[in-house]
Amino acid sequence: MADLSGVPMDELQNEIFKMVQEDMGKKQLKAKDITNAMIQKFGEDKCSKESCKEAIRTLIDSGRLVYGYFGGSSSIQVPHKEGSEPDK
Amino acid sequence: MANETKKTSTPLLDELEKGKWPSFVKEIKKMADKNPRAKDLLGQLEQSYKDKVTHWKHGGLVGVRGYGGGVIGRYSDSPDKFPNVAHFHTIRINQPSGWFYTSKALREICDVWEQHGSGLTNMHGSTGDLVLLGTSTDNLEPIFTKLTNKGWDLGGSGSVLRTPSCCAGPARCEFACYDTLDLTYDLTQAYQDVLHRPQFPYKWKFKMSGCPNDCVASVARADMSIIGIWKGDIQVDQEAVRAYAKSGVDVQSEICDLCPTKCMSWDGKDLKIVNKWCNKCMHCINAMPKALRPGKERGAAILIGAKAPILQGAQMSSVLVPFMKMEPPYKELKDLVEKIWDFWGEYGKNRERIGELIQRVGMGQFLEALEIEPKPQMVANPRTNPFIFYEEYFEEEGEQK
Ligand code: HEM
Ligand code: HEM
Ligand code: SF4
Ligand code: SF4
Repeated sequence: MADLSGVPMDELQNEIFKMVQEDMGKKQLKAKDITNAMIQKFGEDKCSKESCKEAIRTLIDSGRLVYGYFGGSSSIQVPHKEGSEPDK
Repeated sequence: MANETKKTSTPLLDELEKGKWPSFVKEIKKMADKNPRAKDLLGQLEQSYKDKVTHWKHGGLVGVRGYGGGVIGRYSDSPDKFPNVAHFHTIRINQPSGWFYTSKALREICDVWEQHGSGLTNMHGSTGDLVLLGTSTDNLEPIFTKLTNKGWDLGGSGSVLRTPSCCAGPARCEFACYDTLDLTYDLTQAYQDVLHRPQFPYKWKFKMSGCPNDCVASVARADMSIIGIWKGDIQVDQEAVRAYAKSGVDVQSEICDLCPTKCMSWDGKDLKIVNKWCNKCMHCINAMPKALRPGKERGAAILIGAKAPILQGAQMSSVLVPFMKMEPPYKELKDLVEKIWDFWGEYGKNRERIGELIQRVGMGQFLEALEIEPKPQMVANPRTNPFIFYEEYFEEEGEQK
């Protein structure tokens, strides 16, 4: 994160959050899909695998995004109530 | 209705208590007397047997904060009838290397589990984890906190490094060619990030076996099988071979004739082995453990690509590195692993195991990308692995002629 010319961390996080939010219910996004999309968006000189990894980690640790799981495969999602979860 | 009476009536499940073998129904019933989740589990299971359909729904999104794996969500499709199993999530706990526990440690887990879950466990799941069966979402964080305070951690699920597992290795077994327990612990610690935070196209399993007996069946189940092996000569104690012969072992028919490569001979006095032909099947060593031992130069063979049939058919792993020294800090192995993960991350499709990716692009391409030389040991049987072409060999031969 020493590279000051890179995308600021909070902007990167917001972009990632927006992407996940927009694709909810349409696509099962993985860390790799998000990373590729961000690098494409900001350019390789401004955004790296490492910075995306850190951004995703922060989003998950803060609970803004969560990991989802279906059929043995994982994706990154906005927290929501599961369709299959019964009403209490 | 049956499940309104105090004891759940389960005529179909009762059938599964008959016979001389252990019965999971018997075990659930024991717990059902004191645990409402276990009681409703019996009820729902009986219902499933009656209806001939499952009444479980796939869970999707459950877990503890920061972790992408370790909890597998399940919900009942009949929560009105079976309210105590409305949620019935499974928790995977990372087992210690080789499944060694103290009874105190097991009691601690059971205490947490009887308080927060169904009290039912699975020792162990086929991935290797210690499995706790059946709790609700609101109990997950308290369970996690209590277990981690005691030094436990969750195992893997989803597109992560699954909990590595190994055979008992040198802790109990004289055949071990490397320290499976240490390597398992080392890899588990080194790769915590990919174990808990899904970053792979799909699951990845490491299994460590100390010798080709492969007690954890890594060749059939692991994306990377790390199987202990030796170089050079099998150690033979001729005196001990003679003692086996004297005590009734027919060395010719039981040992030499069953050697798959026919590289052993016995003249009634000495057992001779043409070691360069030995394919390390372990037969002779297993049959006469007091007389024979793996050779002194030890390490492991690295195999790649096994998987059970999920999207495509089952596959055994095949040799990638015939021999590698296996000593801490395992740098050579880790360099190889990380190179493969990069390749898989780059080219693997969603839900594509490494074995399937190799099949799709071809072993030749895969080896080239990893800069690994093809070796004869990679060929399981002559003419069955036509993916390797010895271009240089042909060139040289052409020049000579
Ligand atoms: C006296 C004459 C011949 C002898 C001694 C002979 C010997 C052999 C041997 C030892 C093999 C290897 C088998 C293996 O590796 O499993 C072989 C394979 C083969 N031979 Fe011949 N061969 C003869 C004539 C021919 C002729 C005339 C043809 C074709 C017109 C032919 C076509 C082939 C083919 C296509 C294979 C490969 C089979 C495979 O890959 O499964 N051979 N031959
Ligand atoms: C359309 C025509 C042909 C087809 C579809 C065909 C197909 C095949 C196949 C599938 C193999 C086995 C490859 C392997 O398992 O590695 C093979 C091997 C072989 N074929 Fe053909 N073949 C054809 C024509 C020919 C002809 C015309 C000849 C000889 C005049 C020939 C000679 C051989 C030989 C010698 C081998 C063995 C090569 C080796 O094992 O290294 N083939 N062929
Ligand atoms: S795989 Fe080999 S070393 Fe490990 S327990 Fe089995 S026989 Fe012993
Ligand atoms: S290990 Fe197997 S192949 Fe090797 S000498 Fe013994 S029986 Fe033969």
